[in-house]
Amino acid sequence: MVFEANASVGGPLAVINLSGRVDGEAEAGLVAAYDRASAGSPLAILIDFSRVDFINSKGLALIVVLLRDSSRRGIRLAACGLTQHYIDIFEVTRLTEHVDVYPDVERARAALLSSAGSSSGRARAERLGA
Amino acid sequence: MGAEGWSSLAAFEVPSRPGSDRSAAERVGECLQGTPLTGERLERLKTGVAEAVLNAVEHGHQNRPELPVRILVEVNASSARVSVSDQGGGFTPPAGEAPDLAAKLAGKQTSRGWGLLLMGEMADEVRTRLEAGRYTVELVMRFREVVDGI
Repeated sequence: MVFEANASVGGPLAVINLSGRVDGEAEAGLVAAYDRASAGSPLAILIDFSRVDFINSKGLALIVVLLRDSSRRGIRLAACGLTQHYIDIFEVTRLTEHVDVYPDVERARAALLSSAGSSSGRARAERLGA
Repeated sequence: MGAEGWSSLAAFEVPSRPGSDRSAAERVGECLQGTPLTGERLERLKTGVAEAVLNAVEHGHQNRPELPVRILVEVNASSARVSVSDQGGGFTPPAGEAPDLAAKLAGKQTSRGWGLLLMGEMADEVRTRLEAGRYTVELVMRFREVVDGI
C-alpha cells in the first residue's frame, strides 16, 4: 500500500493519520503532516498507525526525528493502532519510554485530553503563584 | 538436504532499491506457509529478513538496482533459516555505537542504526559470513519458542 499521511489539527490534540508503509519513502509525507500538526503548538500529537502495514528501521528513525522535535517543543507524542508486533518493536527500541501507546484513537483522545486538562490546570496554578 | 537436514524451499533475488526489503519479507512469509512457523514468530522473522535486505541494498550495494540481493529460504525438522547475501564487504557498526534512544534524542547519535538491533532481537539466531566476495546474513527461527531451556 502506498504511504499517505494527513493531519487533523485544531485544539489541544492534533492527530496524524498514516496508511501504507512507514519506511524511508515516507519521509516527505510524514514530515509535512508533522509540521502541519505541530504548527498550532498542540499539547499532544497522536499518530494513528491503524492503517500502517509495515514499519522498518528507516521508519523508526523518522519517528525518532519527530520525537526529538516534539520533545524540544514540549509537545507530547503518542501512538495508537499499532499491532502487537510493532508494539514489541517500540519496546525493543525503548520508544515506549517516550511515546505513550494506546489501542485506538478514542481511548488515546480520552486519556490525552484528560491529562492535558490536568496539565493546563497545573500550569494555570503555577502562573497564579499557587 | 544438507548436513544439518536443511532443505531448500525457495531461492530468489530482489533488486537493490527501496521497497525490496518489504517485498522480500512478504515472499519469505509466503514460502514458509504450511510450515509450523506462524503468527508472531513468523512476523518477527520477516522483520529480521527485511532489515537484512535493507542493509544489503544500502550498505552492500549502495542502492544500485542492477545488483541483486539473493535470498535462500530453508527449513529443517525444527527451524527455518533465511540467508540474505550481497556483493559487499559486510557492515560493522563503529565500536560503542549500539543504538541508544536517549543518545539519539540528545543528538549524540544519528536517528538511524536500528537494523542490527532489530535482526538480533527478532530472530533466534543471527550469523554472518564473508566468503567468495559475498556477505551473507543468516537468520534462524525455531518453529517453537524455547522458554528457559525447555
